[in-house]
Amino acid sequence: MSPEVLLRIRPGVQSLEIDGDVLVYDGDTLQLLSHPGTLVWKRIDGLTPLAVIVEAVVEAFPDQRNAVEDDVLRLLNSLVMTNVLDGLGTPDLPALVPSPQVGWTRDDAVVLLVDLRDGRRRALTPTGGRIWELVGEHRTMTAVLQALRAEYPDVPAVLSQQVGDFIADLVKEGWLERRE
Amino acid sequence: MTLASVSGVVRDALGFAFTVVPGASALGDRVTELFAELPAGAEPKQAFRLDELGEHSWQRLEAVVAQVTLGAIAASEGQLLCHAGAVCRSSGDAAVICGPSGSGKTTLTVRLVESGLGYLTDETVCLDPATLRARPYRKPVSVKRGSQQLLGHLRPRTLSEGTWVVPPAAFDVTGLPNRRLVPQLLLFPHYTEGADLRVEPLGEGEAAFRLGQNSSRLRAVRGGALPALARLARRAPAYRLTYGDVDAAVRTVHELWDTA
Repeated sequence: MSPEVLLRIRPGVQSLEIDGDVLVYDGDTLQLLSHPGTLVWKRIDGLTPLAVIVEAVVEAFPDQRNAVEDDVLRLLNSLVMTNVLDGLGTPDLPALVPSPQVGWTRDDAVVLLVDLRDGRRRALTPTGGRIWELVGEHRTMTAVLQALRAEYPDVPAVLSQQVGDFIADLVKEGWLERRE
Repeated sequence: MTLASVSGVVRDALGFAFTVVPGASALGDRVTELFAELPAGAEPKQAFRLDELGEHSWQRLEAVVAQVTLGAIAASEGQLLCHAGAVCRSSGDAAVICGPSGSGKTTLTVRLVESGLGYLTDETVCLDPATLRARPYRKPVSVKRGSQQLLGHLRPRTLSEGTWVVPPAAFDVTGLPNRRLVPQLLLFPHYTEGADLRVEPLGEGEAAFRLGQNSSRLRAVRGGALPALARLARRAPAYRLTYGDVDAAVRTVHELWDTA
């Protein structure tokens, strides 16, 4: 699978978290995901590319990076092969654009977003504002992470997780949307 | 000829009303004895004709028991149906003994019943997915070749070829309490000849997964299979029980249940 493929839970697949594990049922087969599989499952949202999911999980196991990375990739491949997940197969961030009703401006370090329909606003932190700009340049997630690491030496170890969450939040609130 | 007219005895297996027609076979009394613990049924949905079920009499008994179970499963649409044995205490607390064929669940179920517990089933535990209340299915026990050495005292006087089909009356002297039957203990046996006894507690996720793996028609469970499996796993402590000595396993189950 391409590192930038977007993974989505197939419609009709049920899941339930129980005591730190996740039961997944696709109508035919029941699977149990245990740690770190549960971390993987929680990150599958149709917006986060495979490479970001892998990096986010691996970051939680700094002493076992290679082994965990192999496990995560094997698990994701298995979930795609068993039709639990869809690989949407499109690059991630280039597919996202600011929603047409959104205007934005940079005021020194702060980026301010405005919904032109109802005046709703959201001020982004300096890092958040920079992510907004990088996404607007149609960078890939990998490129966004590389740029942030280069520009902000003190970025946290779990950067990919936070960036993924942040972008997902912007989509959820309607500031970003998928390009048709 | 209506189904109701082909035989005088109609039995109910989890909502599946059936009757058995001996025909030219001389198995009529034996069949009556085998299914005597099932409640009386109303209008039969199916009449099994023993003459049509196999070449030999022992094959016919096996076949009719298997087909009744299939009918029972089909009639229990929406219920959680675990491939498991089950026993109960006089309080109504039940233990579900779950596993694939060959795991030793029938042996353990029978020996637990002989130790003073009530017999619910040796094959299919039918649970209401909302209340988890168990519905007894006191079918004849099917003692397969692998269990016959351990349950040699149940060997039928006749028709002892193949799988032994044994009526509950042959080993259950306790019967069922007139109480609500709800699982309070989940056991996943693994019989290995000569193995030391080993008890491993299972987490809720693992228990729910194993229950689901050994269940039928999960897709049809009312309200969804996953919530029902999770509710059951949260309610009852679960253990994997590896055993080679049945008596030791029975003692251990009683101890686990006392502390559950």
